[in-house]
Parts: sequence; C-alpha cells; structure tokens
Amino acid sequence: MRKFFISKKLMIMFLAVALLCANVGMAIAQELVVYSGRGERLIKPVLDEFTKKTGIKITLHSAGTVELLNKLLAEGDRTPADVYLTVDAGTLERARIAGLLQPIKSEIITKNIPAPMRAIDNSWTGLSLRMRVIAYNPQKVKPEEIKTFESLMNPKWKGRLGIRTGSNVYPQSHTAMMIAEKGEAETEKFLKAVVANAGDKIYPSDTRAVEAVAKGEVDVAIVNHYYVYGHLRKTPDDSKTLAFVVPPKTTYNVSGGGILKTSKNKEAAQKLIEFMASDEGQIMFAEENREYPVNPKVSAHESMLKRDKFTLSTTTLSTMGRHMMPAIDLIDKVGYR
Amino acid sequence: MKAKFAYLTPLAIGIAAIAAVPVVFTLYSAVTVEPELWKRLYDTRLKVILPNTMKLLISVGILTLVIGVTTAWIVTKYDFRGKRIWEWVLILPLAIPGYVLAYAYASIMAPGGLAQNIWGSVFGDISKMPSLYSFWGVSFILSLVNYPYVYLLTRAGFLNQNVKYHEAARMLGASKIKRLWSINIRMAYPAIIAGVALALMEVMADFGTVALLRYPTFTEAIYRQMTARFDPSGAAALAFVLVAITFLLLNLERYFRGRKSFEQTKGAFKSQLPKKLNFQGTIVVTVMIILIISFAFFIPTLMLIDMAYDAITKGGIDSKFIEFTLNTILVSAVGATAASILAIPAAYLHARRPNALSKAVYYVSSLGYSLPGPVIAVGVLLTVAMLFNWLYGSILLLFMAYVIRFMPISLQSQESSISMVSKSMEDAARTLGSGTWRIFKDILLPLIKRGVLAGWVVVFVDCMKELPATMMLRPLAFDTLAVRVWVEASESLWEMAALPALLIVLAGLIPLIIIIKKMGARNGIKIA
Repeated sequence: MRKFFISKKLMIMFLAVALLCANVGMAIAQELVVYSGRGERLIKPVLDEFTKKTGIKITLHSAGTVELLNKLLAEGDRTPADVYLTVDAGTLERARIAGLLQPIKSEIITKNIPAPMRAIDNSWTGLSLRMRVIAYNPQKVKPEEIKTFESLMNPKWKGRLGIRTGSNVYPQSHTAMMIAEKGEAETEKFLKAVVANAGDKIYPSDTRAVEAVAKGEVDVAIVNHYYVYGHLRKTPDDSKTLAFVVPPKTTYNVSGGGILKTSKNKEAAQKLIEFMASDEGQIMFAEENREYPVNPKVSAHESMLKRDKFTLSTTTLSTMGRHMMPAIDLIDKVGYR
Repeated sequence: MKAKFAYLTPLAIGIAAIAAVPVVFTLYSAVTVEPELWKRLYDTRLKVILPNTMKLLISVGILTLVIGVTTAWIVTKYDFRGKRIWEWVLILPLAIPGYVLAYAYASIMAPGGLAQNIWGSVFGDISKMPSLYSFWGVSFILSLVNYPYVYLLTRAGFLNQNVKYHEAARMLGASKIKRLWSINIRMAYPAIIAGVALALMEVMADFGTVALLRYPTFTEAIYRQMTARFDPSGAAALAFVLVAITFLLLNLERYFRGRKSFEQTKGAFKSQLPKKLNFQGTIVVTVMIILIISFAFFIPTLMLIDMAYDAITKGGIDSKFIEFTLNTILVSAVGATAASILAIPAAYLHARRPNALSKAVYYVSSLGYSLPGPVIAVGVLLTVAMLFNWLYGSILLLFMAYVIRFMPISLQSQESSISMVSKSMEDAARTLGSGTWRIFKDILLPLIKRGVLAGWVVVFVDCMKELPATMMLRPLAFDTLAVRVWVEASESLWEMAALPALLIVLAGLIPLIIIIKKMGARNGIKIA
C-alpha cells in the first residue's frame, strides 16, 4: 500500500512538471488554431510550408465546412480558433453576417484578390477558384445539348442526369447564386425540373457523380470542374467517356478563409492568410487540386482549361452568400435531398 | 423510519432533473418561437415531412401488423418441425439497427451490385428495378426492422389466451371463423395494438434509415435544422411537433396495454393446444418464415460478412478502425455505467416507497425513452447553451444524452429486481443497526446484481447503436462505429462501412439472448 502512495505522489509531480513545460512551450512558440473545411490532404502541405517559413506552429482541426461554422457559433467567444478556412464563400459570408470574422487590412490581399471574390469589408477572402460545370459523356451527349444549366431542365434528361445531394454546400451555393440572378420563382422551377430528372441518381459526392458519368451510369452531371480533372488524372482512359462543358457566365465559388474576431493571435493569423494569398501560396493552394488561383496573374496548372476560354457570373460572392439561407430553404421546400 | 430515505429523495429528484431540464428547454424554445418562423417552417419543412411521416406510419403500421401477427399466429397456433428454432430466429432482426439494414440493402441494390445483376438476368431492363431511395424502400426497411415488436407482443397475447373461451364458444355454436375473429384476434388486440404502437414509435424515432435513403421526416429535418442552419429554435419547434405525435402514440399504447378486461382471473389457466401441421403445412409455413427472416436478417448479414471479409483482406483493420472501436466501447461503457448508477435512487424509491412523489420522479426519469435521439440532442444543446456554455464540444454532452435516452432501461430492470427482493431483510439489518449504505452494499446489491448487469448490457448495446444524438453531440473528429457506418454509407463507400456495421449487429445479438431466455419459459412473457 505504501509503495502505491509514493508512486502516486511521484506521478502527480511528474504531471505537474509536464504541464508546466507544456505551458511554457506554448508561450514561447506562437501557435495558431485553424478550423478547416478543406480536405486535410490539400491544406496540410500549405500549412507545413508556412510553419517552416515563419516558425509559427499550427494546430489543424479538419471537419465539414458547415459543421465548423456551427461549432464556431456555439463556442462563441470561447473558441480556440484563430483562422477559419472553408470550401465555400457562402458559409464565410454567413460567418461574417453572424459577426464572427475580423475585417483584414492588408495590401497583399486587396492587390492580389479580385474584389468579387472577397467580403465587402475584407473579413474573408477567396483563395482558390472553382466553377460549377456540366460533366458529360461525349459518346452519348453533344456539347450543344448542354450549353446552359437550364438545358438540363429538359425532360429528355430524365434518368440521365446525376446531381449532388442537396445537403451539400456546392449545390446550395449554386442555388444561392441562381436566386441572386434570377429570383426565387425561376430557381424553384429549375430545382424541381432537375430533381425530377435526376430521380434517384443523387450522388453523395462530386467524385461519385463524375465516376457515374465515366462509367455510363448517367450521361450528364453537375459538378465542380476539378473533380473531372481529378478523375482523369487517376484514370486517363476515361477521357473517352468523360469531359465537361463550362456554361457561359458560369456559377463559381471559392475556397477561402477569414480571421476570427476572438483570435488572440490576429497578427500571426493575418500572416497565414497573406501567405496563402501570395504567389507562392496561391500555386500551392490551387495546383494540387486543379483549381484556379484566385489571383488572375498567377497561372493555373498547364493541363487546365485556359482562363480566356470561359466566363464567370457577374454576381459577387458576397451577394451569393447573402442568398445562402433562402437557398437552403428552397432546397428543402422542393424536397431536394 | 423516515430518515432512511432522507437524502435519497433529493438525489432522485436531482437526477430526474437531468432528464427533465432539456425537455423543458426544448418546449420553452418551441412555444416562444415567433409566428413568422412557424410559417417558414411550415412552408419549407412541415408541408413535406408531416405527410411523409404520416404515410410512413400507415405503411409500416400495416406491414408490421401483417408480418408480426401472421408469424405470431403460426408459432402459437400450430405445431411443426423446427418451430422452436423459428420462434426465436424471428426476433433476430431486432439486432440490426435501421440504418445498418438500409445500408446493407443500399449496397445490394447499388449500380452494378447483386440486385441489379439478378434483376438484369431475369427481367432484362435494369432501369425498371424499383428504387430503394423511395417511400416504398423506406417502408420496406423499417417494416423488416420493426415487425419483431408486433411479433413478440402478439405472440405473448396469443399464448395468454385461455382455451376455455374456445370451448364455451364452440358449445354455443360459434363458427370457426367467428371464433377466430372474436376470440383470438379480439382478445389479443390490446397486445397487437401495443406492438404496432411500439413499432411506430421506433419509426418516429428513426433517423439513420430515412436520412440514408433521403426520405425527409421529422428526425432528419431536426438534424438538418441544427447542422445546416444552426437554428436551435427552429429545431426545437420541429421537435415539439414530433414529441406531440410520439406522445399520442405512446398513450395509445399505454391505453391498450392497460386494458386487461379480457383476462380471466379465476379458475385454472389452460392454453389453447397448438394444432399439429401436416407435411405440406409445415413446408408452407417454413418457407414463409425463411423468406421473411432471410430478407430481414440473413441476406443483409451475409452481405455484411462478405464485404467485411473483403475489407479485412484489403487492410481494413488499421489504427483508425481500432481507434473508433475503442471510442465506441468507451462511450458506451461510460453511458451504461452512468445510467445504471443514476437509476438506483429512483428505482429504489419507486420499489420501496411507492408514493405520488416517487412515482412522479420515476415517470420523469423515464421520459427520455420515448424521445427520439435528435430531440434529446437539441434539448442537451439548448441546456448547455443556456446554462453551461463552457461545456460545448465536450464529450460530457454525449454522456448526458445517453443517460437521458437510456436510463429508463436501467430504471425498469433495477426497479423490477428490487421489488423481487423482500423488504424484511433490509428491515432486519436496519434493526440491527446497519446504515443505508451498508444495507445497500451488503444485502440489496448482491441480490439485484444480475438485474443491474442485464440492464447495463442492454444500455451498453443501445449506446453503441445510437446514431443521431451521437452525430449531433460528439466532439470534432470523434468517431464511433455507428458514425462510421453512417458516414461511409452516405458516401457509398460500402466496404468501408461493413466491418463497423457487423460489429454493431454482433453486439446487438447479446440483449436478444436475454429476451430469448425469457421466451424459453413457454407461457412466458406477459403483456404487462
């Protein structure tokens, strides 16, 4: 029994020392907590490079973009997070409206990032650009048949169209942009027609939707452009059955980030965002995933469609973001799961 | 004498408050919701989910009624080869949670999967194959999962029928059909209705099946209200409507359970002798049972085993898998232990001192069992937001939800074990000067150990299977087996979900053994 007590005392002392060391360690090295909705595989190299350059350590919490927003909302000013990264501008705008984000004063950002792709008060900024496109099977579909998203409302696509689950931010932000441009009534018609055509060809991820086109399960699908590139990189042979069309003035979105108002490390946090907005960061951030750098001066990967071959919607991402909640309501209303 | 319960009562009240506070907060949030939000909820959500839920209640109600009553009829009224095995095999589907069955069928019916191959070779055109992602798909799954409730209660109802009524009716010249209707069915119908009501309550509480098969109902709407919008008041409003409907069903069930006017109290009880079936009859009923149980248990389980085997040979048991298995064991063990310990005061008081107060405490502590997981999660989140904001994101929230949802099981098993122990032993010990704690530890506990343990096991397995509250309350990146099944299955990564799903089914078999043992006593389970 006696022995036990001694060891217990020792243990407590050991723990105390360990805790002390940990505390001191934290005080010396600067540290950032990043909540990230972006795939860990894509964001980790960028963060590691940043740590190598600046010595600022980063604790990364990866989860769903919206899941993290909910967490931030619930944690309030107790959140440990300094930086919030998402795969969707609409969610960033929701965070801004909720008063979670700190406006950033940074020349690097205002110079490098086009205004439509950041918040009106610069409290969030886009970092990589992606478009919603129509993936199709060239053996079964002519590109002329799918010039616009609206062409997918045609009943001839019944059973031939694949879409993403309505609970995901990609179709949600697509819907939000459509509401901003055409109003709710038109958008509702579009959603109803597209959902009816898709039937049970509703895919849990863009990856699956692209695969479905390549394998001939469906002939067309609405997806983010880089999933098509991703699939063709893995299985180049599928280029016979998989290609994509970018509708003119297409719906677009960014993955991006902002700094939490409650952060106690705003300076370091701003360094991180600026690094990702810099030329070097832009390439790292976009290239591996075959997205476009938001900075138009930084060139995209050579295998990708050149920028002058497509046009983006004139709607700003802030405007899109403000229509995010009505979009979610509309998606629920038409029963788009 | 009064002093011996002195601190037990406030303790029990305090524990009941854990169950009550989240419900109160949810109701409060719901009734203070702006009319504007109600209107929006009606336009965007209720208009869809109310009819959806009603349709589902009707279809699953009818299907479980038909399957449950038919199977109960066969095993009680007839005698045939293999009956003793089929009798308990028929409850096996209770081991499979709805989301696991939905996932198993989704993988069977996936593009290029088993079902499409069979359909293709028999009918040719694959596009004509019915879809699982539909009203009928959901009805099919939920009926297969829940018919055993109807089967179990109806079987007990049939077994409790006294043959004397038949004899009397026959002597009075009642035809066979008339006897079947007015004695067998009408006398068993409190049991039948109670079984269907139980099944329907499970339907109301189901989240995984409807979410996986994209059929919006209340639970899924509440989940979305929290996860997509972070709108606790909207979620609370939806929860309010759901709870109202659930309690309607619950009272229906209570009402019918309470009706025992058909039971004969005087005279010897003699059960109706089962009729011996000839060869053809045996074939017919055996094929019927095999068909049902194959669809409800064997086909999906074999599919899981097959996929799990593939996953293992491809290196599916990695450190991640071990991590979320350990997570599951940890949270379930803590949940079950907490529920078992916290149930003791209320169970003890209710058994030893049944007065208005202890009954009220018992009732309030039992509330959680009739509340669907998402409702409890919303309640816990609201409570934490209003009272202990600093707790947010901690695993304690999960334990709180498990205790609220499953403590009623511990309560019931402990209460019945305590009531079986004679009070005189405790009194004797007290007279000899023992304190309450010592009496509990040295006399009561050894005697009720088995009951407490059985309750612990059932709660442990229920925690393991629990999906929606776990999804909504778990700390970031904290995965359990149930969460993995759901996440992988909703990404259509069928093989990845197989091993966790199989473990859940295996664990689910354990409490069934307890039920089967009870069934062993032939005239076994009474309805009450």
